[in-house]
Amino acid sequence: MSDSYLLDDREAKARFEAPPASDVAVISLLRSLPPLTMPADLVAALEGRLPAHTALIEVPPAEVVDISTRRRPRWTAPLAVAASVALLLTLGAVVFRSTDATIVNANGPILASGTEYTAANLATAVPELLNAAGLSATNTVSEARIAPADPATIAATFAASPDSLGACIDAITDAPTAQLVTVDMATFRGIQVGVITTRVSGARGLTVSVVPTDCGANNASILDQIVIADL
Amino acid sequence: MEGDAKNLPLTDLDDRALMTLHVQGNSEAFGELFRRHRDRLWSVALRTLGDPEEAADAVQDGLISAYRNAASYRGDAAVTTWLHRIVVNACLDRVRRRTSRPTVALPDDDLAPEASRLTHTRDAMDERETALEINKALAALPPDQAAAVVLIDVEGWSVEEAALILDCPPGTVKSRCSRGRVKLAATLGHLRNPDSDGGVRPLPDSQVSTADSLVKGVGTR
Repeated sequence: MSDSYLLDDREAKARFEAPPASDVAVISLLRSLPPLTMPADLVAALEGRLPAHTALIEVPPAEVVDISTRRRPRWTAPLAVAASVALLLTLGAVVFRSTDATIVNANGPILASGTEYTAANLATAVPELLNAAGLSATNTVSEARIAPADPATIAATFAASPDSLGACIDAITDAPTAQLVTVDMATFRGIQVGVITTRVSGARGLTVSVVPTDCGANNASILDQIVIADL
Repeated sequence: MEGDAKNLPLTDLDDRALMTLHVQGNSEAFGELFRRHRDRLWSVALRTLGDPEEAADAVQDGLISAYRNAASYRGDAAVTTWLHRIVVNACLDRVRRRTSRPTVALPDDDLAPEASRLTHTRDAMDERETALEINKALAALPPDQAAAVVLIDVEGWSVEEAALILDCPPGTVKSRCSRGRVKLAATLGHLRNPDSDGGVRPLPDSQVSTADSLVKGVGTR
């Protein structure tokens, strides 16, 4: 048995490429092993344990946001909803009342830039998007250079209606005074997502949150989150 | 893809689509992945560790980690490769944590029913005993060699795939495999040449339930 220790790397690799009869016999024995089946009790244990981790699905760490700030007292929830709805009434109206996506100047906060976001480019791609969209610090559109999302493409997402968008923002935003800057329906690591940019009054920077397309009260997952300089 | 995927039965979706749905919050998608890959993951874990209890813990650690960290899957390898990598890492982590490496754990009170044993044919018993001896020999290998041999020679992964799973260069996989095979050849010589020492030895009754665990994959938890 000790002869294996005498094989240096080169010899061991060469032996792999041209195995002697003894190794071939071993391989034959190993390949004769019957397939195994996971024990039923282990299957049951895992099937029971995995769903319990749904709320614990981990996302890449946020670059700036302190996770502790994501905890919000229950009493603030109505305020957050009110803030979201108020904002949507202001900003979402154009998008949701417009059925003509060809009207360039009708862009609201919901965009479909087609950007392929990654954790690495998020911090640069979002400011570029905001600049390209002509968004100003007051959330008004100066000149549209990115077309708004086609309502048909967002029909099955959290951005389909003011209510569903508000539910998403409420689910992922802990600050009751959060204001929506923009939503970009795009991809993140190849997955369809919404990239939501919000501003919190008095806070430094804008918070960019990458969320799944079914973001809402039942899915508050945040796939990535960073803070970028304000407009 | 996404819109279509949500309208199809999960069983009709490929692994990548299931991962996407899982990350997007679909509560059933990972379960389908689990159903597809659990037996192979179990096989690798049990044969690398040689101990059903340890293997079960490693598989649970690995799959829960995969479940929670699915967003880190970047799609640069097959989902099954990614899952195997996580579970194999969980196995090797367990090995590193223990101070000494036992061979095969012997359960105390989970003996196979006597009647069941009596119904085995001689050939079936021989196959079972042979499998037990092979698994014991695998469990006695250094864990990095055991993992390489199990992936390549038992489970049939390519060297390149095994290298991804083990997070090492393909050349390292080859050398680990060769070294493991040399040791196995010495340990299992009597199996590949039954006349050399009288053939396969009968299995002591005390080890029958362990044989069941390793051959049938029935744990003792």
